[in-house]
Amino acid sequence: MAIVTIPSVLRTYTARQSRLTVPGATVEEVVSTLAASYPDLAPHILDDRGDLRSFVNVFVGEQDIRSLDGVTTHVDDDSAILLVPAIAGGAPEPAGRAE
Amino acid sequence: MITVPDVVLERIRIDAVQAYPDEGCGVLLGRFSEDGQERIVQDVQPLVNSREPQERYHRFRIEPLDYLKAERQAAEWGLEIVGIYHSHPDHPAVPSDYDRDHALPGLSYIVVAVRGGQADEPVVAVEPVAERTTSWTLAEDRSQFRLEAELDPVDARASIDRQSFDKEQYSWPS
Repeated sequence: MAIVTIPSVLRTYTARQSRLTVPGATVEEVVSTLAASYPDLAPHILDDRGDLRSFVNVFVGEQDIRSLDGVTTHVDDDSAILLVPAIAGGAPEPAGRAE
Repeated sequence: MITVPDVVLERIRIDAVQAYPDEGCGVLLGRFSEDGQERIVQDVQPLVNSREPQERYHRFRIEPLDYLKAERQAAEWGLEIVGIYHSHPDHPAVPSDYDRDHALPGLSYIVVAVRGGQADEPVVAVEPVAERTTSWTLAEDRSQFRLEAELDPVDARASIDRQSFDKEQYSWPS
């Protein structure tokens, strides 16, 4: 079980709810359950294989799970999970003026 | 649909010009309409472009912790992040495939074209200027961006022939 904070950019898919209590003993279980509960959210956080998309960052407390045990990071009932999208972009290739 | 006060737009353009020749970026703070179809922008928070220095001329990235900080600050003000802005130095205000890959439906993506007059310009000192500002939304199926607004003041860049502006094949004015 964990309390998942949904970033505003993804709340469209959670009926604008910002905090959800989701069952699971690991980050992976929590995220999978969350995606199953909100199918419209799933494609934005999981890839076709059901793995976390590379541009979704997950924090447990204030720590990025990459510095913990990744998706197998254990969570307790009072764990706070944050989903944070990686915001990126840029000009088309090749850079320069379009003709 | 997006609503942006002129004063907020000006801050976005200033950040885009100041970031030149790098891409500038930040988040749009405001509220969603009840049906989620409209984004009412009330403020803007410029953020650090964390890409490697040699990549910043055509790429931007906002660090997750910077994003979190901005979102928390917005929440304290009773606002939400309703969109993202970034600039395209010496490139039109049209989102790239790279932008699309990293975008999410339901948000507004403002793109500011900043022209620095460096490339094939005559030898004239030209300060960077925000040429055009557009706003886009990503289709639910992620297939394409749709232009939702042109955000330039009516009297801006009078030299641009708006009649010839082709949204699909937008290029720099000659």
